[in-house]
Amino acid sequence: MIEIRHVTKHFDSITALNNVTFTIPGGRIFGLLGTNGAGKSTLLRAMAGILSCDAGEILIDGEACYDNPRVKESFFYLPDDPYYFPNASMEVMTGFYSRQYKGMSAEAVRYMAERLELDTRRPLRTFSKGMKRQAFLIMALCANTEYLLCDEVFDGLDPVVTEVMKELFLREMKEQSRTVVVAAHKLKDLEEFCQDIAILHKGGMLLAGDMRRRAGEICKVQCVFDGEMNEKAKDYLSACLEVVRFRQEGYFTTLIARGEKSEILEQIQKGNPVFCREAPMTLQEVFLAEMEGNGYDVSKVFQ
Amino acid sequence: MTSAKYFSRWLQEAGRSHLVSALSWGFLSLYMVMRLVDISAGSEYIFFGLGSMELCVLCSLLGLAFSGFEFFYLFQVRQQDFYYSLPVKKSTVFFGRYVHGLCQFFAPLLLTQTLLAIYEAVNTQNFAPYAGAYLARSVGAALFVFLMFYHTGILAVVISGKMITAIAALVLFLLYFQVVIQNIFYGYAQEFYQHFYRLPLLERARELLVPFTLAKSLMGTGIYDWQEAWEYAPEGRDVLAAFLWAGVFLALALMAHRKRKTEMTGRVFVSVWAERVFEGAVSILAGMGLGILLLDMAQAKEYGAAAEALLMGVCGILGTCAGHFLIECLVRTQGSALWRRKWQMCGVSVCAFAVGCIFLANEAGFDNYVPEKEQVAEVAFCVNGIDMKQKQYVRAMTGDASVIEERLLWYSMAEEESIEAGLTWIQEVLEGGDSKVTEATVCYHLKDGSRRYRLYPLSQKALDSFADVYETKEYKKRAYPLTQVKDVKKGQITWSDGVGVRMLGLSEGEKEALLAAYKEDVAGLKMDELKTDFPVGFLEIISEVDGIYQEAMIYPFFEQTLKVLEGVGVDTGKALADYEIGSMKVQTSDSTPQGYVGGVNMHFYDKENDIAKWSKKLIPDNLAVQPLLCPVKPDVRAEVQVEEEAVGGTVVVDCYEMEERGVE
Repeated sequence: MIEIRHVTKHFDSITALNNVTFTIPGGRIFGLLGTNGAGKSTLLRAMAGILSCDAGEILIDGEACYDNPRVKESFFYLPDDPYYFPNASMEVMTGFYSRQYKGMSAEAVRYMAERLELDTRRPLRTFSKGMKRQAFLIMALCANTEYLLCDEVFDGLDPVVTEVMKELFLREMKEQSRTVVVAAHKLKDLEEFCQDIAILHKGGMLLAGDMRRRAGEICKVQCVFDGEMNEKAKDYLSACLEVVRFRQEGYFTTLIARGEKSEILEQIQKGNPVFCREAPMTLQEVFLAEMEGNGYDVSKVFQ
Repeated sequence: MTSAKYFSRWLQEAGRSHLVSALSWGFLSLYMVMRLVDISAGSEYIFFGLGSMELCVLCSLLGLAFSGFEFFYLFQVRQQDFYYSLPVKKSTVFFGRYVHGLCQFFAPLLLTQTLLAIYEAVNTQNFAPYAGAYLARSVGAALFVFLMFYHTGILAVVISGKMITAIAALVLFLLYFQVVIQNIFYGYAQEFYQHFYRLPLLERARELLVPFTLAKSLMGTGIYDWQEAWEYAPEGRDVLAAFLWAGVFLALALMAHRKRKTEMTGRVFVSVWAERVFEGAVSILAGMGLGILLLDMAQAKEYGAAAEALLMGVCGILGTCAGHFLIECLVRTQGSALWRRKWQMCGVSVCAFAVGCIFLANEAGFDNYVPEKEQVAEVAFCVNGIDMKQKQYVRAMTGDASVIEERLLWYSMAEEESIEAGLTWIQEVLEGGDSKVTEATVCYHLKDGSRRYRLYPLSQKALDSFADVYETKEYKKRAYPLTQVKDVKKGQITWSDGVGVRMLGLSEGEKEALLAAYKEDVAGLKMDELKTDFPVGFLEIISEVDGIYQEAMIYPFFEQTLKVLEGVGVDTGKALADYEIGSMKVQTSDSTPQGYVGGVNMHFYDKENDIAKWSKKLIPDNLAVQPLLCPVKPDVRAEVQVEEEAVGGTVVVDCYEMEERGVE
């Protein structure tokens, strides 16, 4: 478990993290979502023990991680642009990591690289961006650490490589229970495989938790009212339901409301709609609903 | 245990710095090959260890280069993120790099030096007994030199967030004390002290605080003699200074590294303290430097001490502010005010002003300083133009310190009579007089071991009164060293009148008689007599016993010596005009207005009348030994082609034209 307690980090006059507090439970894939400059990378670097906190603390399994090799043995940090030795190949880097991480399996690296058609003896500098990402993800996964901290691992990758990498993540998670923290600035990069997501905005923590569980408490309904009811629909529904989002285009009304699905549908039926049905919600919509409900304009987060 | 395990891993990882290995092994191997060739060729004055300037420079450069290469990761965010995210302490990465750099220097150094020592022991006679100690001292000194520069470079890198700042910090560390002492303190001393010549305390400070000067001292780069180099051991205080230099810089680097935050990479400096120290150091230098510059340009001395103090105060404030704001512009970050650290700037301004004031306040004390007789162990004099060849005189008057230093060493007197006469004369000099005719440099060697130097302008009266010193027994011993020779029986004596040289086939008795006559003439010599005429010639005596060469000028008033010489057939009256002269080239130099060159006239004479006229006016340059007392015209020089029977050909004699009184 990773505990982030009241962490504050300043870079000169800029507050990169402002009293951020949340907990990342063990054995989960945790997404850190936020726009550029939201503080995701700073938080990840602090979690990886690269940066010290100006205030607060980050504990991994109860121990501070900054300059603490024993704790650092339990995680692998994978930045968006990983460093490798000049002219080093995957084989060389695997050898290096083997000396740092007890659980590193060179054989597993070779196997996975072969599956992804990556040449382990070829210098990494000759790899494309996507190939490098795959190579380092393989090494990160094969390090067999308890925690894996990944920063923007899918950014700038084509859909095929993205899918491959997600597949790798999910397969590893199935096989081994480990905690993965993935930072991204696009929700679609996270929604498919993250169980918990936290949103960072301007250094502050907006939201954290299991979004799918939260999705069960929110319902999206599409309906059509006619006549006077169509004009009064907003007032009517707002009065009887906890409306999070209301949108009307002509006679077509889309509604997101908080509460039990059956109760919501029952209240809408009382308004005699011509048509009414529940619509599936994307994780993005759940977030938007949550955030707007909390009074934040987070449209940029989901661009 | 864990740390040890990590450290060994990291030492291996640091081994990836192939560039460091290539540099070290490459350059030291190249150095070894060069020295092997020198040893094979039997080259003199070349040493492979102590005494080698090349090794000193190589160690210094490798130290600086290694600090940059090994710790370059501190400038790279990606690399630091990579290292610091791994299960390792920051200090382990640091020491892994440090020890790797050290080993990469030490291993090839030890190997190449050992091979060179073995080769030299085999090839050079007499070296074998010294080989072990010389090797150990050479490796030790080279290691100290390397460490000094290595640690200095590491500190520069550790406190800097950018490469360019590290270079600036390095330049500051390496040259700051040199500039402060040489340009600022010496500038103040030259500006305020009329009698300033040297300040040994500052010189010593410069030797210890300027790393390359200290490195040269450790390595004994000024040694040219084999035996001396093989036996050379660096002075204890030099070793201590090098140890402290390396130790203090490493300690500061460790402290700075421990406090260094990863996110500060890319900033000008990574610590506020480094910023402040750099800012303070540069601004005080700017304040003092501007003070020196304007004091010199404005000739403030003419307006009195108050004007000088005022100017220093204004310059101190302006220069410091300029330096402070310049550094502030470079180091300030987004959101920080430009007008910050005002108190630091005020404090530095005051310091810049105070330093100048300390020198100014000591003006009278410095210029009027004459030690008590009881304090003085020795006193040395160098009066420019007395017992000095014309060429040396010109060099001395144009600031060539080597002439003065050589004479201060030779004319150092310890007898009570000489010290008393010297101190009395200096008191007279301090009383002043009419216009300056020459300068005298005096070194007081005090009983506490310290030395004080003063440079006095001499009026004609002061020069005349120098006779009291000149005529002391001890001064004459120095000026006329032949008087100290006990036995000339085994010496070979030659006579030269400045043109021809003749070996004197004297019996032992004649030699003794000549020496005794010379001693008597010198004992009765008065300085005023030297004004009356040029020497008629000089004796050269080479001892068969120790090979020591002595030269003794013989003046026309050395009657007893001349009598002995004439008694053995020497024509002491033979002058240049008495020789058969084929031709002569006379070159006269006229002063030219500033900014112009030229003014040199050259005349060739081969007619008898011209030659006869000029030959009476010329004196061979090796007889022009009293430029002040019996002067020549320095602007008129001649090359005279003399038909010399002794050599059976033509001899070219360099001459000066004598001043009128010289031929009276």
